[in-house]
Amino acid sequence: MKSLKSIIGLEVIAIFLAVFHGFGGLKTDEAKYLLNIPYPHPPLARWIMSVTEWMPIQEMFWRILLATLVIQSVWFVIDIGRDLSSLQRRTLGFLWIFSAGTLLQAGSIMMAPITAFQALVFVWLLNKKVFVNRYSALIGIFWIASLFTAYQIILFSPIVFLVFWKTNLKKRLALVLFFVPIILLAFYTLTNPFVLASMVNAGTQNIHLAYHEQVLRIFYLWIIGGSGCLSVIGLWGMIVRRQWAIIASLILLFAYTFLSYRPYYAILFLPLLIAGASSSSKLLNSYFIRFITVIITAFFVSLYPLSFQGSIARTVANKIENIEGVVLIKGIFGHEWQYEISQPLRVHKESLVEYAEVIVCIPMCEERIGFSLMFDNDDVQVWIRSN
Amino acid sequence: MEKLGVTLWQYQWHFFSIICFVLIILFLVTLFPIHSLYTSSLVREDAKKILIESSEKYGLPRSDFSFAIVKKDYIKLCRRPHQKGKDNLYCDDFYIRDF
Repeated sequence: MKSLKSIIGLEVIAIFLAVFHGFGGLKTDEAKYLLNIPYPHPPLARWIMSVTEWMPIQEMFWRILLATLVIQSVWFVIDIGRDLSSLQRRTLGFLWIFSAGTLLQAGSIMMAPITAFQALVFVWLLNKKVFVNRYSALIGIFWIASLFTAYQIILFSPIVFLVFWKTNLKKRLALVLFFVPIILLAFYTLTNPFVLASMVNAGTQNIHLAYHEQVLRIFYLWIIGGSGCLSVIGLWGMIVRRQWAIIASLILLFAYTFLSYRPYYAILFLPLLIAGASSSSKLLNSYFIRFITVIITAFFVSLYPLSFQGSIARTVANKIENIEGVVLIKGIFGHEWQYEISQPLRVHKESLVEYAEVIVCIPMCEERIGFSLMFDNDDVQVWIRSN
Repeated sequence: MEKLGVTLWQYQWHFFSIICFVLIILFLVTLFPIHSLYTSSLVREDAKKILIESSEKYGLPRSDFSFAIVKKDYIKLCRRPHQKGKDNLYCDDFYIRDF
């Protein structure tokens, strides 16, 4: 009964976070996954998302589902700390739920929260030798599914390797379970040249930044990920307890974010910090840790204020919903436009204007004969064909 | 539920092997017709040129395109305009001597 109440309480938090993220409108990366646009990640999660395109509430459905996945993962966190006292376990769970990494990402339709969940499962499996022995091939299938969800799970490969290596399986089979899925992913990558192109693009986007700026950004992600307290306790724990697989994954994560920084990668630090913190039991005894975490989380969340405006793409889509015909967009636009606009949507080209009923200009364009201005604000102009 | 757990446990290696086998066949079948992209810089240049021209012609982002076949003298480029709802697939044939 107590657990049921906790599950319901956690679900209320998850739904709140989903709604919170929904107010800000659909982001370009989120639309990319909902529409199953084939880059930069492997297809499994985005294909499953696209199967639900028929749902009128597809966006909110996935927000709630992914927020639930992240928030209810706290049960794995509590089990990771099963050797700790009740207070320490509750503190560990509190740090998972109320870190800025969780609150800023749970409810977004991104791959990072899913990868964080998958990484947490592998961290949990590290001390589940009997379970891993019994279901090793099923865990191998979970490893395939994780790899085909997002490339970033590779950063946690030292943990996955240790999970398989510690089993009673023959070492040859353990290597098969670990390496064959990676080889499959490599083959998939070769079948999609755009993935390779976007990888090169992502890997070189920070090269214009000064070295100290890149280091500061990594520091920022690490702090956000664990809201300061968990960041320090987790790192301390993994070093003192010499959790080499966790440390190796953390180094890979630092190196990756050095090359390709995104604020939403902060949540990827969480599973590693939880693993480290679970062995720093004394530091988890204090309620003061929770208090400081809430203060720091509140600070980071305040940097991303709640927006009720939604996306401009949805505003425009609502205004032109009764117009039939091709819509052209002039200017740089994200995938959310592809998601929101129901008419055939094309990039503006002079050769296509004769087929167009609507021209959307981001932010504006010159007056055009045959079109009249329907809508205008600082971000966008909408021109419709005059009769 | 318990029966399902036992079945999963009994046949887990079968499931793992079948998934790996199906995926590797699928990827090889997809990769073989476009392998020239990786083996010939000339073919790669032709493919890039065709992709850019098609993207301009149809007003579609490059992420809506995929190569189905890439050979020295022939390229089949497909496009799938990604929007909410069913995304139809269309393909064009290009004979390189035309370029």
